Amino acid sequence: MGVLEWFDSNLVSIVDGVAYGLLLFTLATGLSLVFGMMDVLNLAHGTLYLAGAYLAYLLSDGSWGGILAAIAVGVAAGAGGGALLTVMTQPLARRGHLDQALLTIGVALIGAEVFVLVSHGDPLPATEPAALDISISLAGHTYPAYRLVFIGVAALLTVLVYLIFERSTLGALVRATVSDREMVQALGVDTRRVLLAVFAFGGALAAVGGVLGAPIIGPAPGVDESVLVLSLVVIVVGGLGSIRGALLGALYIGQVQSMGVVLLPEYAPFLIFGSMFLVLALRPQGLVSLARTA
Amino acid sequence: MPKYDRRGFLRLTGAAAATSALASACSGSSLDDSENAGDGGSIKIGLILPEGGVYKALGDDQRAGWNLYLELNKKRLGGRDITVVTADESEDAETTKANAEKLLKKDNCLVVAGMISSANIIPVQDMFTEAKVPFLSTNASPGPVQGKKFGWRSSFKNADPTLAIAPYMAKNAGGPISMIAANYAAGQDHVKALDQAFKAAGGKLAGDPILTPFPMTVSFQPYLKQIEDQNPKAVYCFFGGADAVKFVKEYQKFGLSEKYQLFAPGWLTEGGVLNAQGPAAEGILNSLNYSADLDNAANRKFVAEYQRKNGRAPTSFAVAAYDAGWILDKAIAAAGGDLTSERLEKEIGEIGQIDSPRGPWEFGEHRSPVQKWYLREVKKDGDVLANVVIDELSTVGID
Amino acid sequence: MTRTADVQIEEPVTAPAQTSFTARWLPGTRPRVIAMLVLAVLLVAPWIADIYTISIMSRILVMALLTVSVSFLTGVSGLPTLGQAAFFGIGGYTAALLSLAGYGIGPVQVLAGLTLGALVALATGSVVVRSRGVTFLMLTFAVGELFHSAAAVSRDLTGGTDGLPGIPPVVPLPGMAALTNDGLVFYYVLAVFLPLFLLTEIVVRSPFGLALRSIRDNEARMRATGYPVNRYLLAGYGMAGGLAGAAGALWVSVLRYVSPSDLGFSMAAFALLAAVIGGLGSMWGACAGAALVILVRDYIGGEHISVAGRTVTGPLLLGVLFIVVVYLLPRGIAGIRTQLASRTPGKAADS
Repeated sequence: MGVLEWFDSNLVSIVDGVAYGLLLFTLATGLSLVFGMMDVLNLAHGTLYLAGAYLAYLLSDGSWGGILAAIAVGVAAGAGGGALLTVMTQPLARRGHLDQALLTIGVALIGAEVFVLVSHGDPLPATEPAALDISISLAGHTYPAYRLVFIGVAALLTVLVYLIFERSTLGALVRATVSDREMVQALGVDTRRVLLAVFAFGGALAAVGGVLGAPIIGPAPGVDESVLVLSLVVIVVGGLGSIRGALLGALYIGQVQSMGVVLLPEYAPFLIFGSMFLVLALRPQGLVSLARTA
Repeated sequence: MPKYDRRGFLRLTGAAAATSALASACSGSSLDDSENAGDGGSIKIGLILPEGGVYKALGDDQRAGWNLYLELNKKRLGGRDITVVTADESEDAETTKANAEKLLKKDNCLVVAGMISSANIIPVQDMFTEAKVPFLSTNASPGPVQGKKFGWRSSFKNADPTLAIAPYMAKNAGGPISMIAANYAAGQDHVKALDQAFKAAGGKLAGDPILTPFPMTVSFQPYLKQIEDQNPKAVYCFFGGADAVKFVKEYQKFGLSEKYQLFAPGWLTEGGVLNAQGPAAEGILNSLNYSADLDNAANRKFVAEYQRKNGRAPTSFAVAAYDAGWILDKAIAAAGGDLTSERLEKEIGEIGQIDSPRGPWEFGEHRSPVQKWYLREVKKDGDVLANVVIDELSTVGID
Repeated sequence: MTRTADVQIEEPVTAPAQTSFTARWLPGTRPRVIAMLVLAVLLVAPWIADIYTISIMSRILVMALLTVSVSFLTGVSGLPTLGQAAFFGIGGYTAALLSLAGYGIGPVQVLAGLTLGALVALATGSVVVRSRGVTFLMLTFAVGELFHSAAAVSRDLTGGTDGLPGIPPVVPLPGMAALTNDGLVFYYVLAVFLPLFLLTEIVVRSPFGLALRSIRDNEARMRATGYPVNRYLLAGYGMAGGLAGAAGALWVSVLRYVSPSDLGFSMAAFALLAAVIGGLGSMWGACAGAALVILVRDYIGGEHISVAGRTVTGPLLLGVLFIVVVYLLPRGIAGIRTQLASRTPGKAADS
């Protein structure tokens, strides 16, 4: 088989891997920033995605207005959730990650039960806008139109996040807080506000990920846990606290579970954790390591 | 055999004997081996079903079916007043076993019904078999529990729908088929059953069965590609819950539903998942032991009452729990004054034909139903999608 | 803010060399009295408690041992682990397969589980102990999930997701009858638990344990002093793996069943969270943490309390428990003593 034929045969898998990768990026960025900046391990992050996906079920009725409403409410709910988690984790600031893990898993357990309460335990339908609820031909292969548009939107989000955190003054402040909180405090900046803003931003991003991702990974019991695990894998593989790391990790894991399965189908159950183990065994600091060594 | 000091050994066994003698003196303690006899008044019946987690929806359907039977019979079974002790079936096998153990050892239930998940029932069944208390599963029915004493199922045997539909597919699929299933015990059972029954009926597989990681298949796309690479005429799949929704939607979105007819055990489109799948499920042919549109007297009454009480059409899950009520009703009545767990075990075994909304069925050697299976198609029924019976498949379960 | 000191530390060690072994090993009067009381309750329990309660207590003892292994690794060595369920499961499958093959003698199964758990830990440990903090957490998580997947797909050996049912009752010693009585099973579990627990306590207070604590508190200094840090951590990891393996073998004697869920994420998370609740680094705290989690999830959850027509499920209760503990017991259950002491002026904080 020639290179071109191989590429043609696997085009859909590669593209779909990118779609999943970008979905994971919108999820994982918030987790990574919150961890990098606030040193908070937020295991209730998957709950924010589930909340977004549930909002998509409630509000997105196939019209453009519906999905825009879901996004707006998702931003508000995600930011609110992030702010709440900031307040809740604040008293634990001087304690270890495991205390935060205990707290946020507690929140996640309660969140999961609340979801079961409102959904009656059923997986819920989440429809994309009717105009995108079609399949198109991608170089002769059938592909869902929504996912192509999703790739575009998520890529835009990625660029936006990158510009904010890596190129703006605000981003510089955030990055400075990541690497040396005491120093930034000494400069007279109220770091707590920076932290609150980042947590709210990360929460909003996760909830919007849930709204946009609902037609791909829909609202169902247990989804919160699986997206949390995937995001954790992404940020550890990519390198904790780094936007570029989260992006690289997300695209890598996206391809592992699409092209990885195509290439090594018999090892499918082992691919995600096997590849994470491999990366961390070779590079414990992840693919992208911050200048400051841990 | 190692050689040991005989006196030491005697001392040990002596101590053990003294221990058990003392233990029987303080009855009710954990060291007390005596059996707990019923007190003749209200009968305690355990019901263990999920109250939360991924299986809650199925648990709700089963509770509705069970409660309906009790309500239609004035909350009495076999003419006796009953107390239903409920317990939660957790996603966690170990917690579920603890909760079942409570029904058995603390509440001293005469018989226990319920249980959705195959993974949960296996350790629990052993416990009941040993305690000589009947356990009537309303759903879970994996291979390892078949035929075990003090175990009964009012549902099915795991691979039955596949055995029932295999000859139909061999005749009507129009060529080789691909098989895709979630990679856990139940999925593997269906793969094995299909391989045997389908080939025996003259069918051909288009390639090796495709197994997807369970419970976390993030994307089905690479597996759908494997199906396309096998170039089949039709596809047979086994999925449940959120996986069922995701698979059916992606099967359509990636254009496979236009090319290959999808067959499946009926759980793929049964209950709440069908609502989440939406139009993507239309045209799926599936095999199940029940459909709300079955035309028989028991079902007409059942559907009307169920619809009235719950505002939705009943599912096969509700029927299995309703039948459990029927079975216990008749068995308790037959036991009369001699109402012990062991007597109940005997009476369930001699119950004969069960007058169920799914049509009459009876227990086989394996203590699971021998029953008729139906071919259903997902169709629009007015505004909503429904599984409509289009043909009868074979009666399965006699082995 | 340091990423390496990832662990809430119970009883920080300042100068290990100065603390004499005997002084640390001889407990104060009050803890000794409490320990005696707890032991007395455990010994008497089978005569008083009903079967259900006693089988919950057996389960608590086993989970306590698993939690001790996590607390030893996470609290004493400073390596937060989400992978101990892997070794627990390996011990469980070892005992189950031995039992099904006719080798029903409990202590043999425990020894086999311990050995295999330790060996597999040492094998995987050479890779994982090079990392720290969250990376270590995720690496051990990966190890756990890989073993979990392997157990789920190797149907011929492990029974796949069906697990291995029908395990015969445990035989406590050669020549004795198999234990079918839940009270006697509890005594058997207690008889295995106590020596393993005491052994761990001794190791924690031994020069080896002190070295691990010093590595946890100041790895750079220990390296500078010439300690082969990773070799020490590997030994600690192997020991914790052995303990978890022994616990897994006991688990099979209690549950008479083993399945992939025994080496899954929820089991690993259970042990880690119970260790945190108990107070990391405290072995008796780990036991108390495991007991609290099981009592809340199974015993209270099993009571099926209904609020506003809805059942309060075990997971929901656990969620509430976690949040309450985080705020009310910042140093876990083991920290209660320190918390109380610090409120009484003039009384030195616990060492």
